[in-house]
Amino acid sequence: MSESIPICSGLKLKWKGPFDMDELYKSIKYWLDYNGYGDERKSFKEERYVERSKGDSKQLEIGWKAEKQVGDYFSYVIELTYFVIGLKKIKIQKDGKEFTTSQADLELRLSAKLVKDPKNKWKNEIMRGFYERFIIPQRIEDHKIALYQKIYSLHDEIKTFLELHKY
Amino acid sequence: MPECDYVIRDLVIKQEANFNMVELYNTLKEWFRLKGYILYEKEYDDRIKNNKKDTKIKWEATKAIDDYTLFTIKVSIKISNYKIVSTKKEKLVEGSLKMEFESYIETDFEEKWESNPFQKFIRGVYDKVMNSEKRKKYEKTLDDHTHEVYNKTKFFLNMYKFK
Repeated sequence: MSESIPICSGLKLKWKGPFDMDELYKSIKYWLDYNGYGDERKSFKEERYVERSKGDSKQLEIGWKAEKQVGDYFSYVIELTYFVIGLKKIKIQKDGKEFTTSQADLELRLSAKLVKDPKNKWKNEIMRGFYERFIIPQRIEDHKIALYQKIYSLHDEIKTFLELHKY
Repeated sequence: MPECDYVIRDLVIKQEANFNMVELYNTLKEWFRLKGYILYEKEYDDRIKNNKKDTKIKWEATKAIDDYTLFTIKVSIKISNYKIVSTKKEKLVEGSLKMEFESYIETDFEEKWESNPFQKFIRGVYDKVMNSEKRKKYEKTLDDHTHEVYNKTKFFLNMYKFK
């Protein structure tokens, strides 16, 4: 039976002010693609997309689940939820030029888990317990560290994006 | 899908650099060839932003050590905000460069022992009990190779600093 180990849950990133929502959406998807989590036929799902209009602004709630199979026995799962409140297009001046961008309150929640035996191949629990405890304990630790580094690298990428696109 | 055990992870070179990309490619390609690796370009992504370019490249070099063990060295190259400048002799890339190196050992890469959990279990026991000395030797070799290619790249980039 497959089993998952939470590596990081509820990692939050909050932003208030102008930013380009379309570009942010694309750049996160691009990061997932580049790191092998973005295949829409196999591993990437937009599980939720809720859009509500309130006057001249919008409210968005988007949920993504991205998975990457690593070897036969492990898979990495990254879940990402966007909460966007008060999204509207605005025009701003920068270096004497006028730009159209968006403004909103953004909250991003990231979480990651390591899934063992994602295809449910191991039916014998004793054999599996022995395998994990005595044969591959180091490999499990290595995967935990790798996924932890990955989720923080995505977190940094988003922070850098928002800082770079600050107006 | 075979299991892989990382030997080196996140060995990084970061530099504001001027360098000849074609020459870097040829130097590394030659190094991999001499060491018996096959080099593939797995990804090439080029984007233009505000008259400057961002490029991401992924290389993967593999070497079968025996019919059970495969060495893999991955090189990810990210050049951001760069432009091409021409000198008298050559065309150079001017921008910020980030190169990441990682390497891992794949065992049973032909997937002969992957068909069911029992075979995988037996294979795990074999790796742990019978193969551990050989395995340590392989890890040491791959570690050396990865550091060698990393140092070669650093040397190549530093050479351009003093040109």
